[in-house]
Amino acid sequence: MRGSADGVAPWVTTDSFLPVGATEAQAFGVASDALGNVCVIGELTVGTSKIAPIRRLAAP
Amino acid sequence: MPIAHSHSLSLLNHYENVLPILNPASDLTPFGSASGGSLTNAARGQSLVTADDYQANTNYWTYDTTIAAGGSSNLFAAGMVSTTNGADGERIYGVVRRSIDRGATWEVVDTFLDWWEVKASIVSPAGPVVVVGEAKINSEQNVLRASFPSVEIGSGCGTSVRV
Repeated sequence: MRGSADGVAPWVTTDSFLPVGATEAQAFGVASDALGNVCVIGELTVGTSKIAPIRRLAAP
Repeated sequence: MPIAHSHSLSLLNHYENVLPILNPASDLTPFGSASGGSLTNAARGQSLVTADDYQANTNYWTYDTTIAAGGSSNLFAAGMVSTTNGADGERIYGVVRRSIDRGATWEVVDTFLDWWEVKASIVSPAGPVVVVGEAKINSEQNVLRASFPSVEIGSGCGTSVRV
């Protein structure tokens, strides 16, 4: 995941996620609530199965 | 967590060539397949953590494709659940999960049969949570349809409107 404090610069990698045992991770969406908690959704491939992880960045 | 087979989202209308209503990832590049754990969020000095790792059926497919926020603390994630691995036709459930504590914990609030892909979702300021996707209406035709839960934010995705 890439993020920027003001949408211009700098952009930095804020998350790189691939747990042990998984072979692929993809993010398909991100949303924030009114308080600034950010959640990222997607899929994680483990063997022939897929899991739906939710990655969360708590509001300050 | 087992799936609650409420099937409360249903057909509202048929569309052709409908684009997603919501593309929440438009300003952030999704994370990819890089190895390693969580990196520090430079802006906040915090790290992302895995809040949930939902898999409806062990060894089969569960994945989310869209997420939407509504109210001060509600988040809705929607995706697909299969009972077998492989082709699109084997993805038989759409599923909506809800968090009422700002993403810290999640629960299944709705499942619905015969969807092949959830494309987008949105929480209306007026209350309804709307999920759109690709559905299998019969054995020969795939169409896009919209679901329209009639309940307010926070009480789940309930009775649907069928047109």
